[in-house]
Amino acid sequence: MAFIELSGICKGYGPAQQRTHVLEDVNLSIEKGELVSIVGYSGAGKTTLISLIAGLIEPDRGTVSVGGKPVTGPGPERGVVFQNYSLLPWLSVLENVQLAVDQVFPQESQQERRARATKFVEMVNLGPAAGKLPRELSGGMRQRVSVARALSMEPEVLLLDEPFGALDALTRGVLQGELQRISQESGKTMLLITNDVDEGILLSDRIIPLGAGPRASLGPATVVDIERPRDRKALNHDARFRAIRLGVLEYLLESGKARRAERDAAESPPSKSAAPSPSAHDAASIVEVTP
Amino acid sequence: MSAKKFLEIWNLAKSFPGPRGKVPVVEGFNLTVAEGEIISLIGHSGCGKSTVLSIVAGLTPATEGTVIMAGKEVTEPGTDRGVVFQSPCLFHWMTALENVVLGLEQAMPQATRAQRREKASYYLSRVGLGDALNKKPSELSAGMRQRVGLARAFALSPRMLLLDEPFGMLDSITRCELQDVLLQLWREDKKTLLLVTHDVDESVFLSDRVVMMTSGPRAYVGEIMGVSLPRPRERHTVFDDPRFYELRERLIGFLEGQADHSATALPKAPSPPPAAARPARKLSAA
Repeated sequence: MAFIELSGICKGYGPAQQRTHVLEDVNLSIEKGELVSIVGYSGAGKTTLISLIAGLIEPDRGTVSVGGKPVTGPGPERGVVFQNYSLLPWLSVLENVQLAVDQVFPQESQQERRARATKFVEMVNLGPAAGKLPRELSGGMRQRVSVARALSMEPEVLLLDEPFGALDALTRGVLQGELQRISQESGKTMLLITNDVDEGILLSDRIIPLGAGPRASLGPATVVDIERPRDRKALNHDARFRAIRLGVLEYLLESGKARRAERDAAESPPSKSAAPSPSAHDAASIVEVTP
Repeated sequence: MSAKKFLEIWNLAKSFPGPRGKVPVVEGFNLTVAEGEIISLIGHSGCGKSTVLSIVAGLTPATEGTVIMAGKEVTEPGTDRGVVFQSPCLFHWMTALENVVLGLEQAMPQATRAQRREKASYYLSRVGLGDALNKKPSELSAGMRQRVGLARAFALSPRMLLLDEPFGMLDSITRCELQDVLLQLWREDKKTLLLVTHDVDESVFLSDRVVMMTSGPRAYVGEIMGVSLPRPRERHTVFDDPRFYELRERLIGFLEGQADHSATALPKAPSPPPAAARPARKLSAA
């Protein structure tokens, strides 16, 4: 059994009569130490997927397990980094990180915990800014704090939900470089959710497209067989990079096209016959959200 | 006026009042655009890309310099120039069709109601919304709303379209879809397009020429890169073409250089040397 294992996951939101089916039959296995990225449209269910692994929500069907144990709720062995940094505005950089350390390592002395927090603040190159408040930091620096906080809990797996989505292209490039370094140094298992195919290829061992929703499921995984460290510019000249990029992007664009065609077909006849989907879980009519 | 000089921007400068006197945003900006060309303006946030666009639209007066379109000086907004913003600004109580028709009431006052509706639904079907004519914006995804925005802009039949980061709020995959929609519209209507973006792939994929702006203050045209990738451009051929990646790399290189420049030497009095001073790079595709 793989370190992270999702099998037959279905998840929807809303009451049964008008349930929006977000994920359908999602299967995913991630080995220990692997960095896997999932790329998809916004609104396809990427955050739902990561929330299931984080234990923030439960699936309608299927099972999620991490390290051989079923996931029943959130836990410190699974660190999460969100797109919005979720820092406490009245605490400094170091204090924000230490807050997590204090929760996870209560048995350690004050000094040990301080040292632990400092180590991770330095790992993300924020040593000189340790005493600053979040509002004194740029977006990129705030996201670094968020990464430091997640790593400081020494999680077995790091779940990254569009961590660089809110940053401008240059800052994103810098943080991608840092994440690459941290991932190599720590050898941590990581799951990266992104809508940026290039970012997915740059960072991961395997890249998997999540098709357009509703009823999104994972497409074929591609092994990124490019040696590390990977350089963003050098990748441009790498035929393997171009082939993976094109393959993933085309899969996604095709899935979007197919979903739109389905929706148009369902809507064009004025007398709406609730088109029965072969894999529908309940006979109730379904309200679809547009991808 | 020759077709080669459809739009001329001469020595454009714009400064805004600041706490310590005038802040020069753009200075010595020159550009000539041929009719039917697709031009991207690319540069870092705050470099003045949108300011240039806004002056060409006639929404902002220039401090110095002249903008001439189709032989006439631009001094105010007009129906010959359509503008598409990042967010399409649709009326939420109107359907997609009504939103497009509304613009046509201004542009085609003598047409009948039926003619306007026909034109609006024609353009909506061309952006792939033929089945969503009667949907309200709230029932549409962000990508679909911007499709309505493009349909509305093209339906008005302006001679030139000014697009200010039109796909900036969309995820990168939806952005690809909308770029295809835009190219498709252009293929048939052949408008002159001036597009502000900070997306490198977008600018190369769409444009005939990419205009790279230096970082402000006093931003100007740093380099102009021709993109001679054949048209019609299909994503799968373009993204498989080594020339695309060369152009992309050249653009990224320019932007990175500008980032270093703005970080180290912020307010420098005289304008740095013009593009000619930069080392010419061999570029097979240019």
